[in-house]
Amino acid sequence: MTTILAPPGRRVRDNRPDTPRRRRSPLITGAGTLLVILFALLGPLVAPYSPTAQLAAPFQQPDGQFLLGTDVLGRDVASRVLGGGRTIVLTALAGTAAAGAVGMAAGVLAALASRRSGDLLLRCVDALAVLPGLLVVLVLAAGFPGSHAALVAAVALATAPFSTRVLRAAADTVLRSGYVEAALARGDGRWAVLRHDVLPNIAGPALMDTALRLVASLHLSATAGFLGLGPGGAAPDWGRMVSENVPGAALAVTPFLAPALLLVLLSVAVGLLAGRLADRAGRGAA
Amino acid sequence: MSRQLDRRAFLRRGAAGAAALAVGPGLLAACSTDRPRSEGKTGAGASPRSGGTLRAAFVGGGASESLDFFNGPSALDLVRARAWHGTLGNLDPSGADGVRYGVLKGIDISDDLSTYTLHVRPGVRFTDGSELTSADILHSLSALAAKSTLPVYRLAAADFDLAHAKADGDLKVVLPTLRPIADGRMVLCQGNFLVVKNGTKAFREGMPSCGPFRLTDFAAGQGSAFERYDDHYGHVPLLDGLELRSIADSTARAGALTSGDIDFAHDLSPVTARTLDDNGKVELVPTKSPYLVGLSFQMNMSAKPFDDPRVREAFKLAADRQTMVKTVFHGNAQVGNDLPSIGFPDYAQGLPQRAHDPERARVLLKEAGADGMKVTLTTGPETPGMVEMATLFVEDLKKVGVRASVRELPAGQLYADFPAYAALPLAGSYQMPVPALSTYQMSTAGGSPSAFGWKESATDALVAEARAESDSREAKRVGTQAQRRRWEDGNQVLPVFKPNLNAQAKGVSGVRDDLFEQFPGFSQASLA
Repeated sequence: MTTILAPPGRRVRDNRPDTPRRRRSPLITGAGTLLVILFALLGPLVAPYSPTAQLAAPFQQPDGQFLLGTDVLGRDVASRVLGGGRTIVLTALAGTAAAGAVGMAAGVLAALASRRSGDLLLRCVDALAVLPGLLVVLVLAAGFPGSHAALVAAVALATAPFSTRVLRAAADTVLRSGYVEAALARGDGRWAVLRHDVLPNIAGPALMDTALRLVASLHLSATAGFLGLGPGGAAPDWGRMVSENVPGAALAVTPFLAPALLLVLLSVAVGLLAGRLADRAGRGAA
Repeated sequence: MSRQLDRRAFLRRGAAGAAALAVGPGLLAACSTDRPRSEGKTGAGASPRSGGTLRAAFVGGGASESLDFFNGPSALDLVRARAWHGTLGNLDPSGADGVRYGVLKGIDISDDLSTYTLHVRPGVRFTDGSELTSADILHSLSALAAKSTLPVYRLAAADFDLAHAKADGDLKVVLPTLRPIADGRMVLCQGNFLVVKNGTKAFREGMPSCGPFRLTDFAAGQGSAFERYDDHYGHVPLLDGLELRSIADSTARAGALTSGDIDFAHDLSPVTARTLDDNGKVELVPTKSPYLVGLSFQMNMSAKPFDDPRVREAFKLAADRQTMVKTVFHGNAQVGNDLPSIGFPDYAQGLPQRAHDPERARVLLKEAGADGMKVTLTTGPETPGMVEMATLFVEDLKKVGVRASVRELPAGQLYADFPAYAALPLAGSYQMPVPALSTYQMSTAGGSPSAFGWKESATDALVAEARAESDSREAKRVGTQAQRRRWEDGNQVLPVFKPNLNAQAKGVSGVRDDLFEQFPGFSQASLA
């Protein structure tokens, strides 16, 4: 079984000369990301007012009652900021999970199949990758207006092709390593080889890849909000809040700046985390 | 218009602006007075300056823009056509027949209301020197307007037998009606009926016409340029030239205006207009009644629970109209009374303003067994303020116990599938400013799909009776009676009339004098 063979990652790393590298714990970025994501997910629970209720005149300056002022329709900006991240984060997470699952399945399948059919599968995936992600989102969101599922599917479709490529390459390397060939020669079933030898060894690259896709997914779902796609209407959404309040930038700054800053914070945090993970996975696998 | 020159001028100004930004506010202020023409002092009573080229910006229709205004749906298509072609007439409350005639001298109506005789104004000349005759009007009406699919021309086609209009000599056109109507002048002289030369099939630059300006340049989606037509009937424009540009974004139009690149910006968004309030160099000139767009919500009577009049009334009472005017339009709008066409001569008189009464709405909903009902309001960003209105209306509905939500379609999709739209339980809509009764006959009477299940032959009959009444006071009485039924039992919540929020550089004047304000004309305009 695999236990008698060292996993290839460790083996390779042992052979590599130790390069000096700044090794900062991903703990801080991880905690930061978690904080922003928790803020987005749990924000609606602590919002002081209903995020959709019209409460005062539009574009009021921040005061004791409305900490961040009021927006274009006289709604409380603070409550909307607290409520507006959930959709973006959930859409991005769901889209990334779906893309990850599809990418993993298709990537491993392409690696397992004969070279010719694997290549064929990859060409099909490439055809999808040619479409700009935003175009896919626009078309699907316009076809199914207001549907969360369509947005998730669009985000997944736009990011899955890249995952497929990365994971096929990762699976290919593992499949062609000596210990997998040994396991197959010994008579282990393909399924057992897949479970015990291949998947554990591509988990690192898969995780890194997923984190990178999450950044792209966040961008896409925020863009969808900005363009007025997705659930639309009164529902708070950071992307949408930026676009609906920007025309009043001369009257009040907080209504568009607060959601814009949160979007920046979120994507920077997730981006840094993805970078750290990639770093680790790189050290682990390459 | 020399586009090259424009671009160079633009770049120069942009570079100057960038330099000013780098140096500081002092220079920026100095730069802003660097206008292409001198700033004349226009005190009260000063006569308008003649000369200069007025530059105006509109949303435009992109690359699909066409010079054929009979089939061009965007506002800019009609504005361009108004500058270029002569008109039958415009609505004018102070005019003798309620209209101000253009290429016509007047319209006579036969006693039995079956024929209208259009008298051509003698001496109107096209740019090729030929004189305008009844044949030109006939061609514009029966060959071009009759085939148009735009609602405003369909409105005329529903009243007049355009295909059977006849010329009677050079200066008379006889137009038979399809049913007896006394308010046909209002239909023909809404400003949309423009006249081109007999035989015109294709619309192109350089074709002869008789409007206040000659078209000199046109690029679809970019703009058009005009010069004054010195032989224009009635009066010759004060301006030397006119440029109509396409700038799709409201903020960009406002920016072009405040930076002095244009003199007139059409239809700004309410928020953009509000940001111009404190700007000393520009002024807001919202269109006035009757040129107001009605924003409404249609309740579908063919579906439960809107078949119950109590539910319909509850929805009307739930709308907090004042707040909508104040919040969405920053006060730049007018409260509606659930009837379209405010300000038109045939708009109902003396009806009480519908109150905002959430308590009564709750009671009515409970009586109808519809408390806690669930409903989705479908709308889309078809005109500024539409989605915002729906958002506020849904909040109002929640306050009376309706579990309401908004479904917002992407721009351009709301009306794309009309049968699907007409089957919605609750839908957002907007009404262009058109006369009340003729529009009712065209789009609401007889259970038309756009009536959302409203089918009231008694009201239809009252409207027909009012339109066929020559005595204007009696017509008004019957017309009001018909509209009262619609007000009481109807399926339309119409809480707000909004103007087109236009803005212009200080000192520009005379745009409003050209009437038909929602498609501004510049034949009497002048620069500072």
